[in-house]
Amino acid sequence: MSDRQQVSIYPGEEEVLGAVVELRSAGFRILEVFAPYAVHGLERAAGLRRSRIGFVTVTAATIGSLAFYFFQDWVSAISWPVNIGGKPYSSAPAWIPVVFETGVLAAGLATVLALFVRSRLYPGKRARLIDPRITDDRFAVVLEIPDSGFDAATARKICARHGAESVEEGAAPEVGKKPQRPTTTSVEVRR
Amino acid sequence: MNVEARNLATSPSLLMPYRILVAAGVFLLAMGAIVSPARLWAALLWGGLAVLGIGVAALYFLAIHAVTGAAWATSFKRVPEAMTSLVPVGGLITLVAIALGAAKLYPALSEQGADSLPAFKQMWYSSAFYFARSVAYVGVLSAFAWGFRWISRRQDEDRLIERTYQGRRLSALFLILGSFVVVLSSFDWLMALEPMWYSTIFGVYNFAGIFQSGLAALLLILVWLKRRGVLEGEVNRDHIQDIAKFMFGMSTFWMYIWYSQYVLIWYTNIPEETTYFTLRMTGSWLPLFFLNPVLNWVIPFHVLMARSPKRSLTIASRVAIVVLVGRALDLYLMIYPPLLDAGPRIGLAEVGALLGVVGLCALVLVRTLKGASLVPVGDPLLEESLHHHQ
Repeated sequence: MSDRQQVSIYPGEEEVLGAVVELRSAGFRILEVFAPYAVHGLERAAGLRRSRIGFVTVTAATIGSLAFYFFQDWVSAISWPVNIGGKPYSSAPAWIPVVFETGVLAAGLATVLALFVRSRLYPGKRARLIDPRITDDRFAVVLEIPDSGFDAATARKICARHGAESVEEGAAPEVGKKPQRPTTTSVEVRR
Repeated sequence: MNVEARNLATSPSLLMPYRILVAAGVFLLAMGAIVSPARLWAALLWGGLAVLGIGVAALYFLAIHAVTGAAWATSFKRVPEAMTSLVPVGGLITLVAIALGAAKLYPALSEQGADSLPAFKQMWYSSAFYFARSVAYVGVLSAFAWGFRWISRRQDEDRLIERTYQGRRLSALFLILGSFVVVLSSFDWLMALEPMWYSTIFGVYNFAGIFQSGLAALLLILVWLKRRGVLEGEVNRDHIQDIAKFMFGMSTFWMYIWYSQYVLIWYTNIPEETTYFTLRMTGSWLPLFFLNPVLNWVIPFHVLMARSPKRSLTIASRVAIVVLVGRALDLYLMIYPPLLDAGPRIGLAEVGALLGVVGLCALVLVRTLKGASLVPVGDPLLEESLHHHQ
């Protein structure tokens, strides 16, 4: 994958939706769309891949429930058998509530952790924004610039037609490196 | 998008199969009455409660949406509204079964049966009080069904926002009053079949089954309408997915409540309480007992977990059919075990009740659907609902 991207900034949701639709139909690959709030139909228009976080949830839920089913069985029937109300040592109906709870707990924790790991979020992480205004009132579209065959002129033309305020090509923010502190735009962020 | 009021048009040939079903059902019930008269009333109670449940579920569906101010279901709300007309129909069948079959069905209502009961239960199950309550349940639910439809249809004409608030107030009242009725009526109509047994969660358990089966029925009807090109634009894949999601959730809720009832009785092991499960877990009842959670939870939960099956009309509607069969089995297991000493039986009356109920539901639904515009053109939330997406 190329490490170059084109970022265009728009003033409103109609503009960004229009640009996304036309850029896609012109064959450009949209990596990400940033918006200060959820825009109806934007994900579908941008053709973004669905999150696969559900697989983490279901795997963790299965492991969490099974593990605690066998743990309870081991505790009550093998390690330290105790006669409770004359029930068999290995009484599946009594395990189910804990199996349910640990399934939910494992699923919840694993989902949050997976989200943090995948998005590289950690305590004290500095926000790395394409443009600080996307948390306020601006919309940004990030296009992939492939190693060859990127028609920058057409892309710029489409962006401009839909009211893009700025269009810039540049290197993608490098993953895994210490993010740079935004300096030039700090005034706008505070506002 | 500007939506015009339009009514459902049906050809007589479309409804013919359902008329035949009703006729066949009535015929089989009559035959059953001759062959084994004892089971006729049980079969009617079974069918009546299944129909009533679907109607009550539609009331809940509408009420929850009105009270929470949800908009997504507005474009097809005429379908659950039509389903509420099943309330008086199912209610009447149930009342007939209770009134005529009381002596056979309910030991507490017979002279010798009442003597063995504690004082409070004797008072509670005195005939006059019992029948007055039963009529009141059906009356209250039918009044709400009529009220919901009336407000919604009036809004088509006068387009007043005030109607939305009116519906919201009525819905809030229903959620309180209707829930009392659902809980008490399941005590009176089902738990009373075994008057010495009691389970305080029984009403919630029934509510779960009712709501789950109602959502399944709603999904089936919408798929049926969509496949016929009716409501094509008004019901999109995201609507279907959300109903399937709702059904998925209620199915898990049903399992949760089913298990809560089971595990507490299993754990405390008190003879008065365990009789219910002992009866259902012995002999040839056992396979049916285990089939019940499979149909109502195992299949819907695992099939509908992923996204694409919920969006597939074919898969979602097949799961809905499984859930409806599961609901019928659930009711069967609540009603029949104390009546059938020799194990589960399906006779003429039971088949007749099932066929008749399916046909009757279809006829009543189509009739009510035709009584108003298919799209609630006066509802201010319609526009938002038409644009609904995930």
